[in-house]
Amino acid sequence: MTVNGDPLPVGEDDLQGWVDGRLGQQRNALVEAWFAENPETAARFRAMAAQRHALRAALGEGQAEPVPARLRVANLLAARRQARLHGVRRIAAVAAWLVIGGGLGWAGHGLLVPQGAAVTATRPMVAEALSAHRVFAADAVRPVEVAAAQEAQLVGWLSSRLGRPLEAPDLAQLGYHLLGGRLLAGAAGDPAAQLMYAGPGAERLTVYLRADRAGGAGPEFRFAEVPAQGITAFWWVDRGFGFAVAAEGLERLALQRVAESVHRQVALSQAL
Amino acid sequence: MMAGGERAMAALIEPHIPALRRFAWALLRDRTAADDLVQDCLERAISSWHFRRHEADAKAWLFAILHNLFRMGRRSASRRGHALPLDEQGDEGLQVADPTADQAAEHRLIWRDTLIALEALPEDQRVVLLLVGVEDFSYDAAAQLTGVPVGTVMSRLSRGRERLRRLIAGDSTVDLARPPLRRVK
Repeated sequence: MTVNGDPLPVGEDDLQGWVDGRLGQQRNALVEAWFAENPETAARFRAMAAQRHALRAALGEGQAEPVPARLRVANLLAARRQARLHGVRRIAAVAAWLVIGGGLGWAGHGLLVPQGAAVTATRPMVAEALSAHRVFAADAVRPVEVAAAQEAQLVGWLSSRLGRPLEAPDLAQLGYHLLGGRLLAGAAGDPAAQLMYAGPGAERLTVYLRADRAGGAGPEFRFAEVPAQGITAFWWVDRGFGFAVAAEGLERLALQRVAESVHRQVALSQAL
Repeated sequence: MMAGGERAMAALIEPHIPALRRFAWALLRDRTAADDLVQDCLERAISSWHFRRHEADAKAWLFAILHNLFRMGRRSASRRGHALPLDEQGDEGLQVADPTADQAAEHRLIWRDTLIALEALPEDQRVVLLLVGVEDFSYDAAAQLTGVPVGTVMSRLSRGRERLRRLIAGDSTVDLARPPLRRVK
């Protein structure tokens, strides 16, 4: 059916919109008029609208009941504080033990983050990581070359190109899942890998790594940023490999937590 | 005691907990499993609160986390003791509260049939029917939340509703192979 001044015929999306009561007045009138001419279809869609109401009513029933204590935010926060306290004590204990033993390993690492100082990236590896983040994280269509669905392939490929066994860090605990990765060329011609993750709100986070034998940096975290773009990174160099964890507009502490997790997983996989 | 930031976070999260429980229950049909899923969702939401885009709608963000957890099947049930007595069974919410009220009883039978039919839908269709039809998410929001194009949401909605209708109508020939979204003239 067509109506003067409205060239669009009634479509399936109009009919669904009608069921949901989301059509504008004009469109709604058009659908109602169309229903008058198509009584069989009209009956089907009226039934669907009735079923939508029944579903809402059936599921709305239990809504009045109070939220159980274990689902109260205050209680969840208290439980979390408790757990974190345990964690801090454990790390502190390990750190103390390592100091007594004469060396401070990666476990004490999180305690050594320089607070405050924002270092702008001058190291090539870090500059590459930041610009690679800017270029690819913003790419909605093709953020990665190889998707996470082929994680084994991706990891095998990047490992062989980088000449180093690589594992994609699992950041699910922090709300990030692997989207995939790509191979890039570092400044000195070294192959570099970028792993891309998406957070709960689809925000992107990247882990960049390549061989980095330039001196002057070690396994302690350093902070770098491109202030104009709000892109920040924590980076470190460990046994000839440079790592940078970058994100845009992410709180420093939150980014640090991700970087710590990546660092820990990399350290563990190297130990194996 | 909650700090100011935590109170603000609680104020943004708590209003959505009843809806999250409803969605989780509709997906799992088990009160305890549903609340486990919601608890898991809330724990993740709290720990990644700072990762959230500030302009993002808290409700959509919470539902996206819950939906992801559901899909990943990561229902860390019985990770800790249940604070609640197991006083609820799957169908409890559907029992007739006042058997003398015939009309109410009839409504409840209809609701019950609808829920049974809902359970027979493929998971993707069920999720979209719930997000759009019950939780009032826009088609775009439902698409973003489930990570599919809006056209896919529309076709799942269309197929899901048709299938639900035929199931409730007692049509035994419900087919899976309904043609995809098209314009009807």
